[in-house]
Amino acid sequence: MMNKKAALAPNLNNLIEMEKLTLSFGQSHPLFDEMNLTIKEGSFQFLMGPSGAGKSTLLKMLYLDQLPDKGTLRAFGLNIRDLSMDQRALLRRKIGVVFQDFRLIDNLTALENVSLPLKVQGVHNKQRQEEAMELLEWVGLKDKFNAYPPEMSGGQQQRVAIARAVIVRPKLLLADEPTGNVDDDVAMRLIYLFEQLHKSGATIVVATHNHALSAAFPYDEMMIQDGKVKVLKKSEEN
Amino acid sequence: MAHASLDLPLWQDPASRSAPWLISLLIYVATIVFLIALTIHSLIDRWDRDTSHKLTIEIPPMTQSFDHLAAPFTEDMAAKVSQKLRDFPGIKSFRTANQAEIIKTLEPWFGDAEQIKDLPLSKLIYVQLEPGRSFDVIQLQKQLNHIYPAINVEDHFNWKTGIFNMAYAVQIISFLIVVLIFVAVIAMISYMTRTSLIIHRHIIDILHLIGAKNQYIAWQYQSHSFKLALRGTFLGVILVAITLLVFDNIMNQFDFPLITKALSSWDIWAITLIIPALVVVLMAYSAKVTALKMLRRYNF
Repeated sequence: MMNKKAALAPNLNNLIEMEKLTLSFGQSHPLFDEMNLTIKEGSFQFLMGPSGAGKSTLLKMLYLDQLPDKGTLRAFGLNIRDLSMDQRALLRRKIGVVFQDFRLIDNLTALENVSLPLKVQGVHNKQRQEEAMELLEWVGLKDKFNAYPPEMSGGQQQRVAIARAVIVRPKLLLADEPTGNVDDDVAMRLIYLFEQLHKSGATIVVATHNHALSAAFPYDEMMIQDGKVKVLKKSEEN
Repeated sequence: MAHASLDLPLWQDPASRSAPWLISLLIYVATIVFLIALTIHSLIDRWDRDTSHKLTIEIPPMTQSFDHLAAPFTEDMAAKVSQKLRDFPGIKSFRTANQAEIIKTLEPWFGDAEQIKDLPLSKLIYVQLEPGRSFDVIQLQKQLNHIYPAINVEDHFNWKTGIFNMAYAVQIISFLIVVLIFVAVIAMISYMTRTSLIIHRHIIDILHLIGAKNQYIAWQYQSHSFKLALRGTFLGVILVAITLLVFDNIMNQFDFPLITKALSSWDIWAITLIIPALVVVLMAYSAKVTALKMLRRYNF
């Protein structure tokens, strides 16, 4: 009896828990079919799969923008079906996302874009500007603080997007194909950047179709195949 | 810098450019209509206070058309009328109007005072009644007619009722116009907000994804509408002020002391500022409520 109860209760060491999760978008062949997935706190994982496999959709579910048709999705121990919109917003403040298309706001400067997550949390203007400036320096864009996204290159926009994702010191950082638009050298440097965050305690999930890149790092790979996720463990430490 | 606090580029919306002009026009119309209603109310009220508990007794001049009035109104009759007024219950005081007062009363209708002097003029007796006490006008009329049949007691009731009804109708219509303008403001802001939420949906999505609550997004619309309303109000109030100054000037030239007095009273100006203030509050609140409703309903 005790064991059954324990199995149903959320495991707080698991940041994300997906149980028998199904998502079909109304299609007869579901994108995810009774999928189970656990992401442990403090882990670093690559999310692999060919284009169209559902990497971005899985990330969308992880940052609570997509509800599954069936099954349970728990984030930080909370079932997201039980949460109101505002509660979901509060939970998203623990998640940093680097989008494939960056999703910067064109009418805000680099500094304003980076500081925006702090602004929505009500952090004082001076403090958020200081923190945003520090991060712009970290990503090598201190001199571009006053530039608007359309005035920046793709690589620069991506670094602004990374700075925005990490400014809230997220417990979970999700990156959707962050190396898709950059050369291998820059891609490696980006992953090193994520490693730094990982070392400071953040859980990292990087979606990529670049096998060479994931092979260069000793982190687990989650492979989307036939509507399910298979985890390929490279290291017992993860 | 004026829009520094907004993440959504709401000032770039096409509707945001024309909104202040439209708001100023609506505020102008609503304020002028409200002011007309207030002025009428003030005039009627003042006039009602002036004529309440008062009667006018008119003793017409002897004319050819009244054969039975061949006998003129004599000093003896005047003494009897005075005695009757002294004895009649409910009369506080009375006095006979002098010729200058009678001419002044007739001037608006008959023109130049010199010409009026040559006309056969009625005698007028102004009667002040005791307030809060019932008064029998018909009985007084009857008793005075025994003394001199052509005497007429005017209690202003009939024509006062007609004017009051007309004034109330104007006030109700004015009130309805102001209400309609408020409804138009709410409809306009609601439409603007809905359109803007659709235009900026991609930014709203980003804000949600970085943890913004609906309240935060709705606040942006509230703040923007507040600024638009202030601009529109500023223009509208300036237009109203110019109109009133011109009108006041014209009224002074044509010597309408009651109207100029009503317009220059502080309470009317203070109350007049309520309309723009209400529009500002209404716009900001409508924008916030519409944004919250849309964000919740369509799960933006």
